[in-house]
Amino acid sequence: MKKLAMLIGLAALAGTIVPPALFMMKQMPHTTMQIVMLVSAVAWFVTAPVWMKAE
Amino acid sequence: MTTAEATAGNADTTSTSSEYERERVPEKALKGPAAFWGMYAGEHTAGTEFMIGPLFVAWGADAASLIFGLLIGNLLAVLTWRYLTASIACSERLTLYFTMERIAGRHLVTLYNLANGLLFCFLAGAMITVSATAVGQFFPEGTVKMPTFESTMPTGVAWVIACVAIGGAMTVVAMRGYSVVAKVGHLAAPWMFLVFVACALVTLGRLETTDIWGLLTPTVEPADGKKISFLGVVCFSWFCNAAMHLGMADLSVLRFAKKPSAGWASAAGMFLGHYVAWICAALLLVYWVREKGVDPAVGKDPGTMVNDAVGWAGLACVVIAGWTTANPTIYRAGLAFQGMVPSMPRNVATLLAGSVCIAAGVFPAFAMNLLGFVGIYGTVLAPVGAIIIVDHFFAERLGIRRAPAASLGMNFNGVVVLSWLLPVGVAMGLHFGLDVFASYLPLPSAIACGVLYAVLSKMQSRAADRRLAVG
Repeated sequence: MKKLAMLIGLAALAGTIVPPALFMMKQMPHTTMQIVMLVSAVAWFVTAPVWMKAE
Repeated sequence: MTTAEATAGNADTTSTSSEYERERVPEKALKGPAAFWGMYAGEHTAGTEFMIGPLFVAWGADAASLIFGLLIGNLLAVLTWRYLTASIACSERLTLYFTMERIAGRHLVTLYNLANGLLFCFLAGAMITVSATAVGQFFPEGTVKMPTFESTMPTGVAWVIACVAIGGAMTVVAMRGYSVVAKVGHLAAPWMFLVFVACALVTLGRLETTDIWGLLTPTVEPADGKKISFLGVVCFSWFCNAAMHLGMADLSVLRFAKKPSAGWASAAGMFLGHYVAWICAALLLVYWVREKGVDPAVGKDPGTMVNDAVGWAGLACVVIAGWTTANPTIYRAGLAFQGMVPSMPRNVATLLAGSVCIAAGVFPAFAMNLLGFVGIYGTVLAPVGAIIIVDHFFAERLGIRRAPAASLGMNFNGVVVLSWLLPVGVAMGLHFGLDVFASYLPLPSAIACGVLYAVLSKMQSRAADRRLAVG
C-alpha cells in the first residue's frame, strides 16, 4: 500500500512538471496541461500523507 | 519539529518546560540534519514568493541582479545561518527568548515580544492578501477587484470579505493548533516548488524562448525612478530573513541540531524558495509586461497570473503556500502577545493576533511594499542577534560579564535597550526620512548595536565591579 502510494505520488509530481515542459515544447495544449496538473495535485495530496508520514 | 513548534514554547516563558524552553536541550532530544532540510525547504516556499519575484520586475531589477545578486545574497544568508546562528545554537542549546532573558532581563523580553508580534502580524497580513488574490479567481470576473502594486487601500467590499474570510479561517485553525497545517505544509513543499517551476516553463513556452537572461532584462525603466540595484538585490536576499539568522530567532530551532553543520540546511529554503521560486515568479510578470502590455509599476496580482499560467492547480498552490506559512506566523504572533501578558489565554492572544493580521491583510499596502517591509522587519530584530553574538563570542575576550541580567539579577538591562533602540531609531530615520532602501539597514544596525553593547557593557561591568569592591 505504501509503495503504491509512493509510486502514485511520484507520478503526481511528474504530472506537475512534465505537462508544462511538454507545453513549452508545443507538445501539449494549454488546457490539457492545466487539467493534468490539477489531477496530479489531487493525487499528490491523497497519496503523500500515506508514505511521507512514515518518512 | 517545525519552527513554529520550536518557537511555540519560547514566548511562553512561564510554562512548564516540555520543549526545554528554560534549559539546555538534552542529548536525547537532538535531531539529525534531515529534519532541518525538510523544514527549511517548506518554510521558505511561501505564498509571498509569488509576490516578491514580480516586485523585483516592478522595481526594474536587471538579469545580472536577479541571477547573480540573488545567488550571492542567498549564499551569504546560508553562511550567516551556518556560522553564526547554528554555531551559537549548538553551543548554548537555548531558545532566543531564554538567551535574551539572561542578557536583557525578563521585562525587556516583553518589549521584544511586542515588536516581534506586530511584525509577525504584518507578515501574515501580506500572506492573507496574496491568498485573497487566488481565492478571488474562483468568482466571476470583476466580483473581487484585484489590487495592483500601487494599491494601498482595500479595493472594495468583496475584497474585504475575501480577506476577512481567509484570515478568519486561518485564525480559527491557529487557535486550534497549527500542527495539521504544518504537516500539510511539509507534504506540499515538493509539489509547491514544482508549481513555481511549472509557471516558469509555461511562460517560456508562451514567449517562445529559453533565453531567461534576455527575458529578465527590463524593457522599460521604472517610471518613478524606484530601481533596485545589484547591491539592493544582494542585501534583500541576504536580509529578508535577518530576524531568523542574524537576529537569532532560529536559535529556537537549531538548538535541536546535533551539529552546527545543520545550518547548511537553510540552503534548501534559500536556493529553492528564494532563488528558483523568485525567478520563476518574476517570469510570470515578465510575460504580462511583454505580451499583455501591463505596466510593471502597476503589476498584476499573483492569483490572476498563476491562474492564467497553470490554472486551478496554481491557485491551490497560492492558497496552500499562503495558508501554511501564515498559520504558524499567526500562532507565533499570538504567543508573542501572550508572552507580554502571561495571564491572557493562548486562544485570546491568537485571536487578537489574527485580528491584527486580518486588518493588515485587508490593506494591500503591506503585501505590495513587501520589499521594503521585510527590510524593516530585519532592521528592527537583527540587532538583538548582534547582542547575543557579542555575549557569545566576545564577552570574555573583552572582559565584560556574560548573561549580565542573569548574573546580576536584573529584570531590565538598560544597556541592551540603548544598544538596540539607538541604531534602530537612526535606521528608521534613514528609511522613512531619507528613503534609504530598508534592506541596506539590518547589517549596519546590527554592527552598531553590537559595538554599542560591547562599549556600554564594559562601562557597566566596571561600575558593577566598583560597587562590589566598595560593598
